[in-house]
Amino acid sequence: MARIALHYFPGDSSLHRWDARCKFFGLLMITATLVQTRISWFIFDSILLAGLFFVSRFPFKQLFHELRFWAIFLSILFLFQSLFTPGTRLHSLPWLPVSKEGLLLGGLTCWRLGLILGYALLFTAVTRPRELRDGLIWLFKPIPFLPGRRIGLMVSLTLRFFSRILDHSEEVRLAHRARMGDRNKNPFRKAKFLAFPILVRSILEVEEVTYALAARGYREDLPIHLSKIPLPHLIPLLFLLGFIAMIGWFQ
Amino acid sequence: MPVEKLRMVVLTSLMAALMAVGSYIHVPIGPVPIVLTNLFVILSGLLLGSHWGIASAGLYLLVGAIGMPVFYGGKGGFAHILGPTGGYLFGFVLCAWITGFASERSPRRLTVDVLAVIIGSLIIYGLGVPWLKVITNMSWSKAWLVGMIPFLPGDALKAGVAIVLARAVRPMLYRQMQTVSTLTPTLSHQREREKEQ
Repeated sequence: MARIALHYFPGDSSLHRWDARCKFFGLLMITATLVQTRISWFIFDSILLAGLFFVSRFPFKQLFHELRFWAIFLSILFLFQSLFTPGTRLHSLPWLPVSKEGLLLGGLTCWRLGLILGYALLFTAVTRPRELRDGLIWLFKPIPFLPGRRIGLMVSLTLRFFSRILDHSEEVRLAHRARMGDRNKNPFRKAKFLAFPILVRSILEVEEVTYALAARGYREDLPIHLSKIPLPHLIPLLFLLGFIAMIGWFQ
Repeated sequence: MPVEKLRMVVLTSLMAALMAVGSYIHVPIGPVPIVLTNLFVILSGLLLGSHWGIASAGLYLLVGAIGMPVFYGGKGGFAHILGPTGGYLFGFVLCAWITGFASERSPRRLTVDVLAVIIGSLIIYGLGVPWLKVITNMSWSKAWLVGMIPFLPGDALKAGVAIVLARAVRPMLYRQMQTVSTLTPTLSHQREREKEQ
């Protein structure tokens, strides 16, 4: 599975240099627009995503090659929606067991998920885990009795493990298939021979990460100095807010 | 921070990541899809206990709320938490705590594990179905029919798998915990040493 998808991709683009807190608020605004079902929001978000990917100088070829898993997943979802949504059959292809409404719903669902995925990929590609952690600490700072530093660390670790588990599951699946394990239809045995190695590998990685953190002297009581968000970094965020307000106003 | 606690922090993050991966294995059959997330929620309760179990489910919700595609079908964002399936998401948090709490009483007994898993699974529906009813304005009978009945056979299977996995992983986890505690001084050891000095 993915080697660069959902991992940080080093670079020196303006998106890489943009303050992580601003990126975070930008992502929140975009995900709020994706809840809408109007096509105009989808078109706006798609154009913006394409532009941001271009600005980030992300290696598209490698990314598209690694997105096969997501493509299969979205295709299955599209098939489910178009086959099982009741509605009128297509006039030109009446023998096809799909409905117009199903095709529309499936298309919109996949478009929306593709956009959410695209923005998440971009956000993780241009934001260092440390920047994300610091951003969350900054966000949780006003809330008393909340271990902001620990929560920040846990969120960045969760994102790291998420992509690592996907890597592990692909390796284990291939190893399982090479041993003809896919012929076994018993779900309990399958779970034991597929999920158990993934769990074990992940737990072994937990050990490595724990010792790495301990070796670096991870402490929660050290004071953290987070700088103010520079004013020029807020300008793109205000532009984005303006665009969203404008589109919302005209609808 | 003691290594044992640091280890639990990392393990909690791993369980939250597993919940996110579980949401990608889903079957969309209506307003509420069949997902593997609850398998890992139950597993986190069984393996981590109540305190860290609730932390892992809460962490999963937080990661989803900040916009990462970790909810079912790759969805994410705060608005999704307040949608029709929001009750199930909050139910996960309660489920992890209840399962962990029940399992902590006697972690090596199969009957306790089975009981913990049953109570935990029911808690998810206890929160999810009323939420679904309120958000979608369904009748109670329809809400139970759409939001609970189709999932019960799958949930029984998932609960079985969670128990099998928990019983297979636990010895390894405890062994590593013991190794860590013998290799590194715990907080109580450190305090004793400080007192001696």
